[in-house]
Amino acid sequence: MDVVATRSSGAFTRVFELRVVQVADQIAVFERPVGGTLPACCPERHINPDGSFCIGLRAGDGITGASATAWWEKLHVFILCQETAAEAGFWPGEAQLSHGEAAEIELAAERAADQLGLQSVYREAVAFGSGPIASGLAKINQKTGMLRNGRSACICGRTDRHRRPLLRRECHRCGQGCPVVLEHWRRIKVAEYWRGLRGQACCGTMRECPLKKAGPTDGTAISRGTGA
Amino acid sequence: MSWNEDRAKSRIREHVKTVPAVDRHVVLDSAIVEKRGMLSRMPLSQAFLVEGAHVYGELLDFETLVADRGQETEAAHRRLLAFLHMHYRVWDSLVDGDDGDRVDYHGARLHAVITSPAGDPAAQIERAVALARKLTEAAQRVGQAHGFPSRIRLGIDHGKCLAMTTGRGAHEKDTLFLGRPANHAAKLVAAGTEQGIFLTETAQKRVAAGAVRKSAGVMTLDEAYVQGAVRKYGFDSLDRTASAVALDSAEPMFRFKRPALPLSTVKFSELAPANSVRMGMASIFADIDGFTNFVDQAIHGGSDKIREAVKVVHVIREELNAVLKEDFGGKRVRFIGDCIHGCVAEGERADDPAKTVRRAALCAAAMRSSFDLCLGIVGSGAAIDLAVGIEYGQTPMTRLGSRGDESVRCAASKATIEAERTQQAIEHGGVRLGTVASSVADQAVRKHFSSGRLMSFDSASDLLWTAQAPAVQILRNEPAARPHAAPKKPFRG
Ligand SMILES: [Zn+2]
Ligand SMILES: [Zn+2]
Ligand SMILES: [Zn+2]
Repeated sequence: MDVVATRSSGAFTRVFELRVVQVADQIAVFERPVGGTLPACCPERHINPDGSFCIGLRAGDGITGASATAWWEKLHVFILCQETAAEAGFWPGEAQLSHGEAAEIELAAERAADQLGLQSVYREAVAFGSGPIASGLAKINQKTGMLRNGRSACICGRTDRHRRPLLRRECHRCGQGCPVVLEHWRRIKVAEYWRGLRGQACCGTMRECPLKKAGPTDGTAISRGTGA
Repeated sequence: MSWNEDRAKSRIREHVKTVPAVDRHVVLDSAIVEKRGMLSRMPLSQAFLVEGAHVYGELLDFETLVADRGQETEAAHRRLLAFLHMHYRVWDSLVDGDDGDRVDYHGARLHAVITSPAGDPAAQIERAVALARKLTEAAQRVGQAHGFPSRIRLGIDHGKCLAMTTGRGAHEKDTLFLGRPANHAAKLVAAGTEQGIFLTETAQKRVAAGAVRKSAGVMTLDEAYVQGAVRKYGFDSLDRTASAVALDSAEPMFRFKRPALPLSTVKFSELAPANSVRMGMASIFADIDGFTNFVDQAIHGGSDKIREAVKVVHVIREELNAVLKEDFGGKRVRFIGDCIHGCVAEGERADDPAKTVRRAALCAAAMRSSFDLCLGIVGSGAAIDLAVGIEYGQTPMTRLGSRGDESVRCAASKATIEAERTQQAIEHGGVRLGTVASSVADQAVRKHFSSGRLMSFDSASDLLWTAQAPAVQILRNEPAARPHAAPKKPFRG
């Protein structure tokens, strides 16, 4: 299967040569051949170690006639973003979910933030690590994973039915949970994900990549104190 | 309003059709240039090589006037514009003079090309020195009379450069001088902050013997030589005008109003001191990196090379202007050599700094895309790149001087100064935001445009998550279309 998408200016992306594999109700999609023009594997470009694309959370599971359209839409976004990643070395922040299990927590945190009208504040915390939710992380007790000073008003600004501020120790137990606490957990899961990939080589196409710092090439260069 | 590839391509094909004709002789003897009055009344759409002395001057106190105790108030801007207006009135007398010199100014800078006496470099430099001294004295005189510090630093170079005029109509016409002399004289001015008249190495070699003294590597002009030059070349109209301006106690009335947006609808022909506009704008300086070298090689490479250089600069400049104006609703202040200075603004009732800087960033990325298309369509392998500096701040826009319809277009503020400085700090191609632009920008703009490579419009549209990005539209209907990376178990996600 070959795919070309139209970008903002009306210009076409390059031709992506793909291979789609369906087993029962599961679909996976790869570049043909793997590593042809895209990296063979790159978490930051959402390409799994086996070369399959991560086009969305469980995107290839339980495909039915109804979910097939959504699957195409997901592939479409993936193709568009690959073109931008190839040129700029960044993946659009809004068009990705945290790696591994952190994705589920991110979705939960988004629902919680949404309820509190903090949607964009939460996006900022994830995409740029700044804003009130991100700075609230400093007030988390690393042992309990909950906010310190449980008797003061919660950072997320949640109030009860009578518009009274909710205490930090109560907040996370309410509704969808506290976005600050969830963001803390999300980061733990992201860190776990990268630890699991230790030893994996960085493809070098992205400007910011955790594998780059830990990767064998960069690591030795630094320890030897040489540039190249 | 945004960038579209097909529209840009067809525009560029049109620009190719309007490339200025390169004179049959290409290299015009300065006597011919003088006789035809070509420099003072540069014919539209013609390009030719001209040899002469280049004088580049900068009013050193301009920057201290831009703000009042750090604040760019309306009052500070009124005073800044009054300062420029005063000097422009004096400089206007040179433009209207019939000496065949070409004088041009923008912001705090003046650029003059001296081609007479024809065919005599040493005499041309001597005349340039006389002009430089006269300008220094005139600035001092009017400055003292009106209570403005008015020190001026001048640089002089000599050589061949490529002259061309582009634009349509009086208000939009710009004359360009491209090549080493225009550039080196300017660099000499930028290299220091003390008042004085300085000659480049080349000019020092061509000037009359005994004119220059050197001690400890510092050159000074022999005062007797300068006095002699001033006696020889009068520049009487400059003197007369300076006296008149010094005696004229009537101060110009500057009145500001917030312009209707987009800024592209502002007409310079309707602007005057009493009818000036002012609001928070992003200044964009887009410069063709490597262009001076490219032109210099062309000048030495013969007529075909010169034709190519004229074509490249014409097509790129016209297209950058079209991107600014047609695609992003911006207003061109002017072309300066191979550089374009323009402004964009956003905000219905009140200024919207973040949105303004975002628009400027997208405009810069669109310029990059158009720049690449230009090189492709023209088929030039020139080793040139695009460098864009952006700064935000309150900026007044008006016309200054006493030449009526020919008055000089002006946008002057800390933002215009810093946008240019930011652009000049870029090595090779790329983009940079000034301090203020960076602080008011939204996170995505700051991350991707603060400094570094200038990406294409399509990538910028994705990374800045604009409403027109196709991925944005898809995600609106299918919020789960967000790639991630599966946990280690394969065949998921
Ligand atoms: Zn990678
Ligand atoms: Zn909370
Ligand atoms: Zn990597």
